[in-house]
Amino acid sequence: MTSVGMLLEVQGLEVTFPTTRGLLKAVDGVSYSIAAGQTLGVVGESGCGKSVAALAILGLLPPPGAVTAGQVLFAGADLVRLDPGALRRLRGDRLAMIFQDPLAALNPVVPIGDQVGETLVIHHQVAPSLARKEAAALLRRVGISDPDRRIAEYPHQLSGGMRQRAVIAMALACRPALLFADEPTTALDVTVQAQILDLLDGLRADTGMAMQFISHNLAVVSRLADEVVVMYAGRIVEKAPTNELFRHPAHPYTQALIDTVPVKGRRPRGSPPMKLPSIPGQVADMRTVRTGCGFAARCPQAAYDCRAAEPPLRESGKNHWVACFRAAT
Amino acid sequence: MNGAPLLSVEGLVKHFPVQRSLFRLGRGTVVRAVDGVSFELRAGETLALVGETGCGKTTVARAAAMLHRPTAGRVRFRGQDMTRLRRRGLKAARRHIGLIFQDPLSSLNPRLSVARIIAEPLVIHGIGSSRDRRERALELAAAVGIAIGDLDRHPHAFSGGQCQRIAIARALACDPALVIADEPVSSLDASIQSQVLNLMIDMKERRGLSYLFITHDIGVADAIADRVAVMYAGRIVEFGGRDEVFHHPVHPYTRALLDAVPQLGGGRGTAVSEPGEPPSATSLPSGCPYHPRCPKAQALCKEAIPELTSPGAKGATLAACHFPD
Amino acid sequence: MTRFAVTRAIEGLIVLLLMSFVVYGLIGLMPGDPIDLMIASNPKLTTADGQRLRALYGLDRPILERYLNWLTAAVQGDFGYSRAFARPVLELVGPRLVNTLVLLITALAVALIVGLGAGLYAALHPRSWIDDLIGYLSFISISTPTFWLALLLIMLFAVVLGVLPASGMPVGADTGLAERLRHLILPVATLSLASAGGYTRYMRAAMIETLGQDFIRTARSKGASEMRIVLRHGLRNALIPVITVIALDFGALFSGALITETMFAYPGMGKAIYDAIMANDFNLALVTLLFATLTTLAGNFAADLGYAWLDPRISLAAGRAGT
Repeated sequence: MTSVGMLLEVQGLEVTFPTTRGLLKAVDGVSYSIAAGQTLGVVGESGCGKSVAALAILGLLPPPGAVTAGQVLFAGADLVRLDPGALRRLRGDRLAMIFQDPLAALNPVVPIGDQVGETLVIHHQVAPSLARKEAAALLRRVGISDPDRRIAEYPHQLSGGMRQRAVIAMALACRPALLFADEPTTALDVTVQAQILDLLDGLRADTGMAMQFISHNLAVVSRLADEVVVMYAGRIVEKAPTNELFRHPAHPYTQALIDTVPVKGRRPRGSPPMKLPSIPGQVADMRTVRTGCGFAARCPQAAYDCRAAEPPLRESGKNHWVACFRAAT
Repeated sequence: MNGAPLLSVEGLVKHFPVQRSLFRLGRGTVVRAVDGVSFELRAGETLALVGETGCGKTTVARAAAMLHRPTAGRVRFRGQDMTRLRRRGLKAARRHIGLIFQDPLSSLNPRLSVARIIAEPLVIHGIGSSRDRRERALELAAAVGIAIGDLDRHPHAFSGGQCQRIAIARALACDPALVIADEPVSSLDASIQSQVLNLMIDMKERRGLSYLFITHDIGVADAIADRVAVMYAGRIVEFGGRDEVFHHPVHPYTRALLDAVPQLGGGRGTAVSEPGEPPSATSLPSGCPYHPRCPKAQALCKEAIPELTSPGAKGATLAACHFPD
Repeated sequence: MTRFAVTRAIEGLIVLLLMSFVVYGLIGLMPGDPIDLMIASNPKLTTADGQRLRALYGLDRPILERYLNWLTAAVQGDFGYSRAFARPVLELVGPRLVNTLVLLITALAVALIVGLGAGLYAALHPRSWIDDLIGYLSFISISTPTFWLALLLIMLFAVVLGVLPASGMPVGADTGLAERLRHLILPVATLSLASAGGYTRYMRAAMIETLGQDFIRTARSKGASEMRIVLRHGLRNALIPVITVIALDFGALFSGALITETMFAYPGMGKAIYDAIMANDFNLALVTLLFATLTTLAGNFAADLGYAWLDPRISLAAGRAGT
C-alpha cells in the first residue's frame, strides 16, 4: 500500500467526538499523501474537518476528540499508534504547525526570542541564551528587521504581519520536514497576506520541507499548492493537481465553490451589480447522521443514488480523484 | 446626478483619546482613526468603502450613523446635518438608516425570538400595533428567506448565514432609505457569502435602497459596488466608479491592494506583494501616509499631505496622490 | 517606574486625607464625648466643670475647626496622646502595627501557598476525585465565617486537645520566638483558611482557562512537555487574573485580621481600634484607622507591582496600571 517517496501518508483517517447527541465524525475516512518538498492545499468551509485532520495527525486533538480509525505514516512510523512521548519528540522538530491568529498563538508574557528559540531548547538541548541568538537569526530569515531588538520584545509590541513572521520562524527553528499551516493568512490584511504567502513558498523552496496548507480560500491555496484536496462534511470530495482542479473541477461542490466565491473580475465591466451564482442551503451540519453523499442536499445534480449510498473516491483522470456518481470519468 | 445626495460626509475627523490614569487625563496619545474624509452617497447607489484593518472604514460607517459623534466635520443625511441633532432629532433621523454588522450572531440579542428581533426597530420608533409589527416581521422574514415556522426560535438555533438574513430583515424593518453594512459577509463561509450578497442586491432593487458597504474584500466590493472609496490610514486615497477604480487604479496603494489579491487558480507567484504594513493610527508618518511603502515616493510626499483631487483628464476618479498614474 | 511610584504616593496621600476627614467626622458624630465619660466616672465633676474641660480641650469648637487643628498638628508629626493609655499615640500604635503585619503577611503567605497550590493541582486533574475534594473543601472555607472558625479552632486545639494557646500573646521583646510562633498558629490558621478557599477556586478557573488558550496549543505543537507547558506557559498567564482577586480580597483579609485579633486577644491593630472606639479614645481611633487605610493602599500597590511584573502588556511608565 505504501507508495515510494511519500513523506506523509494518511490512510482512512477517522476522528470522532462523542457528544450528547451521539458520536460526531468530524473526519470520516480521509486518505491522502504528501511527497517531500511538495505543498498540499486542503480547502473547505468551516466544520468540514480540514483543521481537525491536521490536529489529529499531530496528536493535538482537543479532548474528548479521538482518532477512531486509520493510520498516519510518517518516517516509517504510524503516528496514530506512536506512544505520546515519541510523538511529542517529533512535534516541533520534524513536524511543525502554524495557526490562524498569530496574536493568540504567541504567549503574551514570554519574549519573542524565547518563544522562537524554544523548540531548540526542547529538542536539541540548546542553552536558552544560545537559542535566543539563534532566534535572532531566524527572525532575520523571515524578514523581520532589527531582530536583536525584537527578541526581547513581547507579542503585543509587534504588528500583525510581524507576529505571523515570528510564528513562522518559531515553526522553522528545527528545520521540520513537514509544516502544517492552518489558515495562516486569514487573520491578516491582503497586502500582508501576499507577503506571508511569498515567504512561506520561498522558505519551502529553500529548505525543501513539505507543507500542508489549510484554507477556506481557494484563491490563496491556488497560489501555493501543487495539489489540492477539497473537503466537505468530513470527507474528501475531490483531489487533483492545482491547475487541473481549477481547469476541470469534477465535483459539483468544487465547481460551485469556484463559481460562487466573490472574486474580482467575475462581474463584467460596465455591468450594474447583479446576482452571483450561488449554492442553496447551509453548510453541512456534522451532528446529523446521514447516508449517502454529504453534499446531496445542496447539489443541483443529486439523484436518488446520491442519497442512498456514499460515492467512493475514484480516479476520473490522471491523478484526479473525485467522489461523485455524476462526475464524468 | 439627480438632486442632492442622500448622504454627504464633509471633512469627517474622528480621534479617540487613549485614556491614561484615573485622576488625570494628561497629554495622552490620540488614535487618529479618521483624519478628514469627505464623500457623497447618491440615492439608489452602493458605495463600497474598501481598506485594510485600521484604515478607519468602520469608524466612518459608525460616524455616518452617528454611533460615534465626530471630532470634526459634518454628516448630512437627506439634507439634514446629523451632527447638530440631539437625542430626539437623531432618533427620528436614524429611523431611515438600517445597520448590518459583521458578526451575525453577536449582533442579535440571544434572549429574543427572531420575530421580536426583526420587529425591534418598529418597537423603538413606536410604529404600529403589536399585531402590525408581527405581520411586518412575517413579511420581512419571508422576503429574506427565513421560514415562518422559525420565527419563534432564538438566534443560536440559526447558522451564520441565516443570522445575517435576520439582521438584514431587522435593518429593513423601518423601510430605511440607507443601509450601512459593515463587513456583512466577512464571517460567512464561501458558499454562503454569495447567497447573502444576492439577497442584498435583490433587496436594493426591490426597495430602492442605497448602501454604504464596508469591506476589506476586493472581490466582494467588486461584486456589489457602483462606486468605490479606497481608504488608507484614516483618509480616502482613491474614489470613483467601480470600473475605473478596480480596472484603472491611479493611486499606488490601490494598485498594490489589487495586485495583492490572489486569483482563483492563479498559481505560484501571481499575487504581488509590496513591502511594509499600514501605519499605526497613533503615529502616522508625515506627509502622505503611504509614502514609506510607496515605490514612487519622492521628497514632496514626505512633506505634504496630498488632497483628494481629480488627476487630469482621467474621468471621474479622484485620487489623493502627488504623482498619480 | 519611579513616576508610577510617585503618582501612586500622591494618590495615596489624597486618599489618606479624605479618609482622615471622614473618620474624624464619623467619630465626631458618635453620641457622647470624652468629657461625658469623665463626668460619668467621676461624681465630683459638675456640668460647669464639664464646660470648662470642653473649652480646655477645644471640644466646644466647630468640628471643621477641630479637624483643621488636628491636621495641622498631624502634618508636623504630632498625632496627640491616647487618653485611654495615657501615652503618645504613635508610640502605642507602632508595636501593634508590627504584630498585625506579622499576622497578615504570614496568613497571606499560607493562604497563597495552600490556595494556589491546591487550585493548580485541581486544574491539572480536572474532574478527578481529588479535584472534587478540593472543590468541597474550598466551598467550606469560603462559606465559614471567620469568628466561627476561630471559635472552632479554639475549642479543638486549646480546650479539647490543649496543645495550643487560645489567647494571651505576650507583649514585649523579652519573649522567645518559639513562644510567639506558638501564639501565632491559631490566628494565622483562622485567617488563612478563610481566604485559601477563594484563591483555590480562582486559581483553578484561571489555570483551566489559560490551558484552553491558543498559545498553549502552540506550545504543544512545539513538543513541550506537560511540565513545561504548565510552568513556562500556563502559570504566569493564569496568575494575572488571580492577582486581581488577591488585591480585591486584601481589604477583606485585613478586616478578617481585625476580627481574628479580637477573638484571640492578639495585641494588634484590631484590638487597638476596638479598644479605642469603646473608650471614645479620639486620637488613637483616628490613627489606627488611618494605618488600616494605609495598609490596604500598600496591598493594592503591591498588587500593581505584581501585575507589571507578570504582564509585560502593562506598562507602569505610562501610568496605565490599575486595579
